[in-house]
Amino acid sequence: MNLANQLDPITVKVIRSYFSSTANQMSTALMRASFSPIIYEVRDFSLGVYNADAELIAEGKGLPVFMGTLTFSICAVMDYVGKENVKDGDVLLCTYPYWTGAHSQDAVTIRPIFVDGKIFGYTAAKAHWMDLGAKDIYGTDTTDIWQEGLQLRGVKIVKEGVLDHELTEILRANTRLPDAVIGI
Amino acid sequence: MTAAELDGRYRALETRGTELLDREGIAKDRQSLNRIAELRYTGQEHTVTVPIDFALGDEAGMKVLFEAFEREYKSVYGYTLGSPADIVNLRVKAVGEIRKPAIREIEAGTEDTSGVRHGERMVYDFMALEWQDFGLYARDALKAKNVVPGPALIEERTTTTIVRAGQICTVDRLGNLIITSK
Repeated sequence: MNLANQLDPITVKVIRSYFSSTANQMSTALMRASFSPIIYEVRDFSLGVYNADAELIAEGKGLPVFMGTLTFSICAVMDYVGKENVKDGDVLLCTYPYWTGAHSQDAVTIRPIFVDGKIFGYTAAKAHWMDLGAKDIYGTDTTDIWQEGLQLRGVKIVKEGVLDHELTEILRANTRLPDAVIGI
Repeated sequence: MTAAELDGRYRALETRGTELLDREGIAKDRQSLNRIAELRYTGQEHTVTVPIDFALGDEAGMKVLFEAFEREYKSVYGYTLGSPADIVNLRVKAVGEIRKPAIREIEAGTEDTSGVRHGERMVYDFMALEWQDFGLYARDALKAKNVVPGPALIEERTTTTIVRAGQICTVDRLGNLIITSK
């Protein structure tokens, strides 16, 4: 089925702009609500809206260089966690560099979007967290991955819309800058 | 800071705003004052704008202010944190209502513009891919109801309007140029 043959160009443009607007609003919200100067000043993040196959639908204003890896991050995390184990309102967190394509501090958050009980798409963000208890706050001479900070392969930081207190406590205790990482 | 101190700072701003409006000759019944506070959760950079349409007299005023902040924050971001907030800026919007300016209509003429056509110029039309003889007009010389046939250039100090061959330009009563196909 080729949707392009069934929709008029104006409808396509309206829908496309709606997705772009959603992604840009995600960027603005992240930047303006952040407690971390590397987000609100440097804008060291990238985010977008993805379809059920984790293909990019719309990207928000951010770092283009991060954009290319988010599709692979979503696929890797969803394979690891299992689609059947994710519920509406869950947000998955991944700092595992082999799946995020960067250092551990570039944390990826993924929110599956459900329509009629099935995963319809994803919103995902990769953003620099100030410190995750690495050897140094920005280590450049590490000799193994465990010196780079806390590794999370795909854990639910939000469960059905509720921020997970246990996980935020683990993060809070494993960063030199808890105020900038957790915010509260 | 106490709510009473906050109220005092607003009063000082309101006095300055009222003085400015008085100096500009705005009648009292055309003046209005709006209090605005900009707050953020402690640790954030950016603020949320909170209209202060409630009394700030006593300590309860600070609680009401925080609640108003969280209400605005939720409407912007969809969640609240319940953690302490900073008051970053206090603003007063002093508004003097002035009368709307009347829109001036231009002098009316007829459809005929042969009298104000002041010359011709060869212009390359990149859509027609050829040189054409464009009629020249000064916008200031045009009157309402005038019709300028394309190809024509209507020149004025800040811009040039192009009326291509196959188009006509009609001047309306406000001086707008309305270009349509012939």
